[in-house]
Amino acid sequence: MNDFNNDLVIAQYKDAIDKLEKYQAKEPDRPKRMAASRLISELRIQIREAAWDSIVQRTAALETLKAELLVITENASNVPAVSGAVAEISAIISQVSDIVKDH
Amino acid sequence: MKRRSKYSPLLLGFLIIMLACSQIPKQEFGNYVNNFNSAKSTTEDIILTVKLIAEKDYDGSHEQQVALEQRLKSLDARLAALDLISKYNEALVKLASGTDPEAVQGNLENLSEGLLSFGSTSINTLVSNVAPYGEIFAQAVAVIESAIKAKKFREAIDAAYKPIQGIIEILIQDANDLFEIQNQMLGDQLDPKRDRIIDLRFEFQDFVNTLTPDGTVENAISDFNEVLNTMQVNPDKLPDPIVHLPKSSRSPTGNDYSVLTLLIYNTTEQIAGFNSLKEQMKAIEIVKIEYKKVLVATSQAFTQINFAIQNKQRTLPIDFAVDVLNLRKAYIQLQESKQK
Repeated sequence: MNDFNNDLVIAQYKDAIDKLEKYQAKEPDRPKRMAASRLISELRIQIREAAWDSIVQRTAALETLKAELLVITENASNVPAVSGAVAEISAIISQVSDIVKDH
Repeated sequence: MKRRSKYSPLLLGFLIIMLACSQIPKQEFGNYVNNFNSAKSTTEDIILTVKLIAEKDYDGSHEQQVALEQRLKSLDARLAALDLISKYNEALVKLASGTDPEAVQGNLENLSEGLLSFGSTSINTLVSNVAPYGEIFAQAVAVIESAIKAKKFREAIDAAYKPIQGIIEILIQDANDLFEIQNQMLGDQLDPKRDRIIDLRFEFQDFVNTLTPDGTVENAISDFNEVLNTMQVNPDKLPDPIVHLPKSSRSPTGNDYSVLTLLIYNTTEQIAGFNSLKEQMKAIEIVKIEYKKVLVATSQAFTQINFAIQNKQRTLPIDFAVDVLNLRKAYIQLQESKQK
């Protein structure tokens, strides 16, 4: 099965946020801090987009598996029982039938 | 006088043995089903939470509308997948328990229809003559149907096993993304608070540097640093503590003390809000870990039950309950952290 994920990209974005947060904590210049904040905000959006992208991409694989399963389920309900089972069950039914008739 | 069949005692004995064999540890199966449903419900909540986030994140643009539809559709596919997993679990449990409780409780007509689908027509006669042995017969038919079902579905269950495991695998892969989306949304709320705390720290520093030191000022600095230290961040992200570097010889007045007190108060408030969001992020992380564990446990439970069915054994995954309980606990703690 294909493995769709943007984990590496997300990890890089998160690493960038981490560095910007460290920088902000020590930076005395407010405009510089605000510029870092805008970057962080943009990176958070990118992380969400990457995460959504992974989910959406995986959906196709999910739909395939779902379809596969539905075919199996559908086939299962149409498959006749194995002959041995039918014979076994018929014998039991016949015996039960005898009891019922006797009473 | 009616003739008694020579087979009657033998057959009744056989039926009793069959019924005894089909006696299931109902409590255990009941617990397992309850735990499974609890896990399903929590998983649905997690997916629905992310659905709400998708809607909140929508900015009204046409481009975003397409993305939103795609995202909602993807999440709906997950909910549908959960439903399939649940149905599969139902089939597993019925087969593993050796009987179908619904079939036992259901009416004979339905049972006969089930049996008729296997090509037996004699059941119609049985149904119309069932009165004297109604109860025994009902149980017998249930056992029979169960046996038929076991013969019929064992292979189907085995065939369905792989796609189901594939679906669970996709849900496991989704976990990081589902929780990342939630975390980043909280990050959006967290950032302005952190910005404000750092602003306050520099404001405090600048203001205190205009004052000559005295006991009250030194106490205020100490209080401020103490408050700053309660910020839930890694030490390397913590703003530097205030160090008094007076740049004038102005003696502090009552108003100056009030300003210092106000700055401490505002910083305390901001840090409380910041920490509360951090707690939520931590709680989300714990839910993520437990959620993944439950998905893995579900996959293992299916393997275990399917193996038991294929090998005609009786077994139930005991550890599953612990994982589900931990997920439930973590999820409740997350809800509580949101209310703080």
